[in-house]
Amino acid sequence: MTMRQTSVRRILGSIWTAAGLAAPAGALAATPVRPPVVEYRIDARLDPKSHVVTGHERLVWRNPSNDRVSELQFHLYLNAFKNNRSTFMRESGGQLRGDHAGEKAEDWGAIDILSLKNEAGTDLLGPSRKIQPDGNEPADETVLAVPLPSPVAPRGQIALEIEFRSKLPRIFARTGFVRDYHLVGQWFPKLGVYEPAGMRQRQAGAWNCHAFHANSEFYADFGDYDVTLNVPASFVVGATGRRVSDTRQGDRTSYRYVQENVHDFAWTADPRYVVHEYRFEPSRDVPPQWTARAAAELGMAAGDLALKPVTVRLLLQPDHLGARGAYKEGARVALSFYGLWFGAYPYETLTVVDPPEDGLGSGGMEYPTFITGGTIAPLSRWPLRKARFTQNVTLHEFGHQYFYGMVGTNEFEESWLDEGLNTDAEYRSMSLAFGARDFVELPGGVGIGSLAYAHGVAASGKNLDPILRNAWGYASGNSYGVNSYMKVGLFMAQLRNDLGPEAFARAERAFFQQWSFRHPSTADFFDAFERSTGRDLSKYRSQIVLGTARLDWQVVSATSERAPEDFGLFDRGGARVTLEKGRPFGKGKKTSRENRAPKRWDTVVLFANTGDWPHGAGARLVFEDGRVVDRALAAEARWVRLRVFSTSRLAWAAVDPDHKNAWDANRLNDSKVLGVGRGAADTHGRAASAKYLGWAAALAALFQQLLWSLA
Amino acid sequence: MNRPGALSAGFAALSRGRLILLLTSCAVVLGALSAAPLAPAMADAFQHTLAGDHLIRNHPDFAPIEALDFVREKSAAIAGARQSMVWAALLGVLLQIFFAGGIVETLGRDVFSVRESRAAFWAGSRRHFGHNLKCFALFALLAGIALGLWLGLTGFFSKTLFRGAPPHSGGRGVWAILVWAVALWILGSLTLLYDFARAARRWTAGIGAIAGFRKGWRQLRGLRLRGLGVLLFWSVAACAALVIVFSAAWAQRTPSGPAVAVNLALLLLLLAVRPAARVAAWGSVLALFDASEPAARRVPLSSRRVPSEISASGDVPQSSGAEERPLAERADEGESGRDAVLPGGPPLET
Repeated sequence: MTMRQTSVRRILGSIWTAAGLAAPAGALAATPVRPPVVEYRIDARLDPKSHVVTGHERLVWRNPSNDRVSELQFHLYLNAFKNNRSTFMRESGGQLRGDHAGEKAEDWGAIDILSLKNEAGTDLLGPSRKIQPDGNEPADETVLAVPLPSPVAPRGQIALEIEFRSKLPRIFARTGFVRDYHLVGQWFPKLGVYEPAGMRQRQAGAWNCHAFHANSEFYADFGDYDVTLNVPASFVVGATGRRVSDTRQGDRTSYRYVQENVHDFAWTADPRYVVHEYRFEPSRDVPPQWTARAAAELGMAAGDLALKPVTVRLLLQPDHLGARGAYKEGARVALSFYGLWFGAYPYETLTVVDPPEDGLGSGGMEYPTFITGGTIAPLSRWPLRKARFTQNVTLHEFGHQYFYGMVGTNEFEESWLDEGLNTDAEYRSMSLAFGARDFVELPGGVGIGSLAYAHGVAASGKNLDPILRNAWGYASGNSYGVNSYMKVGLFMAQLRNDLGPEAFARAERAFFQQWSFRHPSTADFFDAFERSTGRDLSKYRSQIVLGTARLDWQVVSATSERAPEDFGLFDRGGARVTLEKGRPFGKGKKTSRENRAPKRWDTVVLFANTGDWPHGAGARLVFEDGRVVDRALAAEARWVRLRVFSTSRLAWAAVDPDHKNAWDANRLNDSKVLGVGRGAADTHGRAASAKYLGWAAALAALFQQLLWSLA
Repeated sequence: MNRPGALSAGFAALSRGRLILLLTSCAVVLGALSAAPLAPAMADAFQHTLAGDHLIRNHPDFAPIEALDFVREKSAAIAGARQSMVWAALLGVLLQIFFAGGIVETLGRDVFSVRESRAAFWAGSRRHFGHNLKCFALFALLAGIALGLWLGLTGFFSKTLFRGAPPHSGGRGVWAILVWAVALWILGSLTLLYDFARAARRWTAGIGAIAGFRKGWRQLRGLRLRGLGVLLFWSVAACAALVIVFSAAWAQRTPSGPAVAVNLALLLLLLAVRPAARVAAWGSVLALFDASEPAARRVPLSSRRVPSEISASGDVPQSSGAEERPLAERADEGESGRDAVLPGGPPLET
């Protein structure tokens, strides 16, 4: 998309906002850039014994800028697994998300470029050099700079011929082999992104080609891929894109895959796969009530939300056949939800890979039109059948087709834009499909929803980093995870509650539509939201996304005491009455119904926001006679004291009683329960305390009895 | 008279309600002690806020969040409970070893009265505590060595045997079942031996721990399968009962005070399962042991010298009262009644 188109959208957005109208969510959807920036044509051959892929790559790169570009930069991702001195290994210590890298000779991985020439046949490999663009480990070999004999002219192009050899590592950090299972990702020499001036707020054009870091994922330009994979005939193959041919030659078969408008290509080969192929049919698979809800939130006609059929190819491990339903359910929910709320899935195919349990390091990963899930056999059986990890991971990885696949954000520098936005959409779709306990549901009605899980994880963190940071700049891998996933899920939920579901849905769809097949930044995200909603979101941006602000409204104290009786001089019924302390009906006066003062209760509740994010909250006071008092607590207030005189005692007081503040760090201090009565009769705190203490004691005793069985 | 079968003896032992109650009480008290550090935290978090109400109503949105916040905010109390749980568990192990002496002394034995039985139980517990402690040490040593060797070796072999095999392959499954079945068999056999070593004090006072194990080994000849079967039966029965009661307690809705009371009662019942099963297993094991003991050594409890501390007014007469088996019955077993009361059986040391 050109800068001119962007300006037009800005003007249109301003007009809509000024008119007080919500921008029609589906308007002006972006189309892919043609011709694409890159074209890859690769012929690859897998040797399953040595786990080596040898390949020939023909690469065409079109200069998207007005600069004369005299150097190309390539990612050589597999060199992250070459030795223990790579940036990746130094940062990760050889473990990622609980998965450990092998240390035997056959476990290492590497990519070697055997030859690199331009169309004229000039050798470009000789003058090339490994660089460390992030000031990272000097021994790191994951980025190759290739000086060109003559610069690529503005809007010009260059074609290269590359011979390469990729030794796959034992499964680690998304890629590799275990036994005959091969998941081949980040496996070929891949160009970085040349960002022209203006793109992602860049001042001058330059390559964006980072080293492969432990916490970072990837960033590449959109292009067309035409890849032929030669494997032993007994191997089942799945890959990015659509298969256009398969040719048997002796004991080997060549499969050709083609896909346009994507920015990566991954594939898998394993003789054990059980293939389950089916068609996602919107007319059958999309719940009509979802369509109606999406149409209502987006302000669009249901007919404008029509989705397309998709061929889904599920590659299952033979011992995971019981998980087929879970994978299908995850894919169905994902294709429906993302399609309805953001836009129809534009590709014809989706390949879902089920990794073996000793290859789960390659699970839970996204590539264009190709995702890896993950399951273990017990999840298909009682009592874990409704622990929806399989659905969840399928749904999440599919969601990356939108936030990463189509909205091509820079995962090195702004991981929250793909992981976080996708996590929010994942939470919403899980909740829509499976209800409040969408994440895990155990027998006996116990379970947890995605948002509750996110709250638990995020609140337990040290809050050392803001959401936005270079992936390798977080304090730890855990901080990267919490900030890129859970905190963004909570931030987006807060934003949705504050803006309203309609304004939020329209803004997010507008952002997606505007930036499909482009590379947006954090600024572009807020720009899209502000234009769509007409709201100033700077405090969200500066304090939550760029800062570490925390919100914690709480009920500091609550008292409800009998108000002292009146005493002194009062003018009542046209006469002056003297009421003495301890003689509330007047000296020498008879007690009568008329002058009897009603019992009054003096209720004082102190609310405070002990966090550092100024944001308002609702407050609720419920009295024993059932009366409810609702108040709004101002965003700027550090504390608020509410004093109410009433004829009934306070039963309980709560801040944010409907949990609208998803960003609130602690829910346990949100209420105080004082009394009993009609209002309070609904609370069973005492019984709860007894019950859970009893359960704690019983579980402790059961554990002890287990030990006693040995005595 | 035919001696009761091992299972029948186990079921008969279930009638020892006080003994089961005693063991259950220990579990309850130690469990309560373990959970005690949580009491103020729970009162603070659940009793005086809406969180307790959300939890007890199982509010789908709020309850999980507040439960997670409780775990985080009250982590110190939880850590305290965890520590006290470990110490209570160790104390419980000692108590189990202590009570085993009384069980061996009295279970399935003829006694005059409940009072005597109780006194004999405590006396036996005290008297055999040292012996049982040594037996436990030997058992732990043997089990550690045997299971360690078995699991270590099979683990080593399985690594090489299944290097290239995918997870959940048929071979792996069979191998895992085999490994764990043998491990259970080893544990069961050693438990049986351990119980017999402790039971050796039943008829042979003063026998040492090693001698007890030797004697148990000899007496288990021909009885091992029956013994293992009996242990398996009571283990399976206990597991089934645990699952049923736990499920009932877990699934019960508790929207009111009385419902919570019922829930707590179910938890008490849950804690009674293991003691009941252990007493029943003891009953069965002791019946097996008695059957393997030469009748000449089997002396009814009531015919033996009663510990002085339970007989303040002097020795209980060596009665031939109703509880003592008639001579004719002994004759049925091929022994003379005279032999049976001869001091070939061990006098109870006081």
